[in-house]
Amino acid sequence: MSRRRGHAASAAVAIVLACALSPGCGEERGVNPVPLSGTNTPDPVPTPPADAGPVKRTISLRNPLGGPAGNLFADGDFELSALPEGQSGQYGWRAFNDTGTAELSIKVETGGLCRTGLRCAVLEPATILFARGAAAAGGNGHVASLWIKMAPGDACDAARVLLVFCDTFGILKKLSSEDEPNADGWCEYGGVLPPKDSSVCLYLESHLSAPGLLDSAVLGPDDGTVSPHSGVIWPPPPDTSARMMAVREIIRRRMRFGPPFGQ
Amino acid sequence: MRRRDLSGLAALWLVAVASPDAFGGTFDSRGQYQKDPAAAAYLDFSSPPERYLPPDAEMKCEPPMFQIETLEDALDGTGALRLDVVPDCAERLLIQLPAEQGSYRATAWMRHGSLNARIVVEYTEASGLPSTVAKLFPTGRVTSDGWVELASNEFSVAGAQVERAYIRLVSFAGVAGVDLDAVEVGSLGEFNPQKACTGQADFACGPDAVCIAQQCVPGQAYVPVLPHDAIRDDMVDMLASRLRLFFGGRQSRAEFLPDALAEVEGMRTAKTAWQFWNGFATAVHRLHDWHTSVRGGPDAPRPPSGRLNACFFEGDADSSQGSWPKDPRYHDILVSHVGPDAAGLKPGDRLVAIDGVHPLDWVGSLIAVDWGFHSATDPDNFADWAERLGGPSWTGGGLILKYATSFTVIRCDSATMTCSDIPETVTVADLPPATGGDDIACDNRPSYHLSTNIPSESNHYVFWDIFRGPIADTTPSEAIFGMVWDNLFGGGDPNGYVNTQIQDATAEWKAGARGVILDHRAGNGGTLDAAENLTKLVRPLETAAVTRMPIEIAGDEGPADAAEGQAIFDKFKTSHGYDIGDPGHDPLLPVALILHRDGSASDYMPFGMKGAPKVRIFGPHATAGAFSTFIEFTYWNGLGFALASGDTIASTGQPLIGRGVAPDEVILPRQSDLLAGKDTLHEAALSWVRQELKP
Repeated sequence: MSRRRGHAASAAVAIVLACALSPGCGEERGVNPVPLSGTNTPDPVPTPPADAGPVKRTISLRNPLGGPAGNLFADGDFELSALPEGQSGQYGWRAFNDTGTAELSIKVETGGLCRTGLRCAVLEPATILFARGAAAAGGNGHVASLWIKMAPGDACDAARVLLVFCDTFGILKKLSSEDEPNADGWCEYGGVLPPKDSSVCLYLESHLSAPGLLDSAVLGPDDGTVSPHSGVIWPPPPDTSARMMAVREIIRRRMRFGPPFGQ
Repeated sequence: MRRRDLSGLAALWLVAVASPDAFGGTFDSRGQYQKDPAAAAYLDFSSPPERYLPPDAEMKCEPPMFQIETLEDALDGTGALRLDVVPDCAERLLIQLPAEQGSYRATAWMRHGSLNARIVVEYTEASGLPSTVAKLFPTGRVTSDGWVELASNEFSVAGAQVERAYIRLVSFAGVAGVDLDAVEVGSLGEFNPQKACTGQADFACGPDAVCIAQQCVPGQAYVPVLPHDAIRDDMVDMLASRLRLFFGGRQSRAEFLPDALAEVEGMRTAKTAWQFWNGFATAVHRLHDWHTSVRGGPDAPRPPSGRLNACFFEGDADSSQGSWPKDPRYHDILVSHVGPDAAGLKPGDRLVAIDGVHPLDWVGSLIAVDWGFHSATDPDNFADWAERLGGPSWTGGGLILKYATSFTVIRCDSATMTCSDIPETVTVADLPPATGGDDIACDNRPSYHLSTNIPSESNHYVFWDIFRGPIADTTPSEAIFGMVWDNLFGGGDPNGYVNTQIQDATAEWKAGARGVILDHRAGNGGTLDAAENLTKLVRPLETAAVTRMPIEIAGDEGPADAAEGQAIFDKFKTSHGYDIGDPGHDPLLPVALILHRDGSASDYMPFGMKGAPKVRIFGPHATAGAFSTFIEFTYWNGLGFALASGDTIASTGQPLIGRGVAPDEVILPRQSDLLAGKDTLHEAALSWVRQELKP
């Protein structure tokens, strides 16, 4: 913990140095680690001179690997899962059609359009996403959060976000959110879980009316430092259960016990 | 006070936007891009760029895969390129570089989707120079409207000899294509000429380059830039945490993870991009795991000039240990089989040294050099290292050709069954070029023994195929059948090729065989269904183990003792069981299983076979011990890594990862047998089956 504070302090120094040494200052330097809850407001940025005219864009410096480092989702920030069309593998995020019977490629957005990091997923209508995770060690419970930028006019319930056991797909918690997106169009989904002895994954169904964005999924140990949403117990209707079992079958039956990367 | 603050911020802003420390251009106070006035080349797409189409491009790649877009939020001006590259194609945009020698860095800005970009400089044929490549990766700079900065590291160009220079682009994962703007090549100054080298032990290339195929390859050309100080620790933290939270099982975490994490820590103080990213690659290699690997990294700009079309494997050099003793740690390395252009090597010849050390010690020295470095999880298994010494690079082999200066052999004579007392050292650079014939694949099989449906002896391309039939030189009344295969990828499909073949084979053998020889000496694994299916031939149904993977609890060190392991097995045997056998198995049929270099599902399969009353496993050592699956991570521009994740707990409570399945009969290919044209392991297996024939 003290080491982390040390990093935070040195990072605070580093941002000044960054601004002194680097172009594009106004840098969103403090994006990592990502808070487990709450907004991810960039650090204050230098303001251009008053007579410079309207600002077209701001420039920031972000960690291309995403974060936070303790994230129990393998690639919660969606920085390490982007693949060319038709390729698939055992990556942090996987996408499926709306019946869960076929794997899909995931489209990507970039830069400051995403909440954190350099990349985020385009959340298309009528799709299912699955994020690989692990349970917290040491008998800790879990805190989870996820951000979705909704299509205009969609309420936050246009996406259903569940924490599930990775292997059985037994539902652990439905993440809860406000009813409507915030002023920037984002909904935050959150929930807590008690300790688990099997891995925890995220299962998401998109009922958006048009493509949105998905980013900054974080699963962390519930160590009392955050005040997350509680989430809700949610018995799934039969059609959802059927879709979940279809996705589970693909993941389980095709789990590879051979060389990665087609070696 | 307020005025003073604003003044300070404005000054800071000006410093920031005007800093010369940029990778490429800078931004003015409104966020409008300002190219570097000293840029050597610049594409702002205010007009269509000139493209380059290679003469051998596929027809589907011929039409332009871009259009000029007029955008209010183009990064520079109002024009940007919208790329929509057809799968398996690339777009190439020409760049005019100065005619003199120089050193450069390329930058580009993209948004929406993903982009693999690299600078390629091709030289005139008369120059004799191989192409220069420099890949572009994110720097971390982004804009609020979605632009992401990509940059290369420094690359040198012999300007007067350039045939053409271009940026090669592959776009994907965009909803409606990928935007590109402000492609800039900035001049950095000092020119570093291409250098030749003899091998990886040659220091001619310096610390930031790798000697591949007698050419110094700048490592920085293939990796991202050194992360900015402001984000470097966060990046290291993130990479370290992926290893710490998700890697491995009990044995592999205890034995290998600490060294890997120490290597990652070294990245914090790296002085160059190559030191940083090669540090991570080395850390992954230090995890010493069959499923764990990195991809990307340096590659030879042109293939080796010579050919070494030979395969090597571990053996017992019983005909030459008098003149060159066996190494106390490693097995001897023998030539298994050869194709044309094998430097005169023949089966039974012995490889005693590479660059003066034992061949396997030499492979181990490549841990910080070869991004394809690959180890068995079991620390006493070196079969993967031996197999990669020879064979073609397109199968992951060819290490000698890529990295060695010389190798030393003891040649033998099959006519006299003797070996020379005088070792001969061959200089890799002197190997003659290819004269024809297939590249020989290395499958640890000196020969095949089916009487029909035989894999080609001229290339050993078993790969994804399954070959089965009667064993050669046996009688119909003996009814001994065999199968030669390396692939267990059933893919969860009971009606797929692999599972159908296995099911059909076992049905036929139960009906009509008196003995079976399974030859699986280059077991590449696959999925557990195929492994389970094969065990149905030989034993009753039981749950042999539970698979707990990918890692269930982050950073889990595994069960502390057998009792804890037993409790895990008991709890999960119904939901996560590795179920082997079948009530309809054949308890009287002898089955010999021959192994050599086998991992993952090809660990589980012999694990499920071992101990069955009529099964005997023949091999030189335990299997790879890769009792897990893996998680993959893909970064930008082909850079990625995979981590083994999870463990398997046997019904005894023993975690299995890191300890391979030991043969029932430990037997090495003998040099004297190879000289006599015999396959030691097959001979032993056949002899045993003949003793055990089903009544």
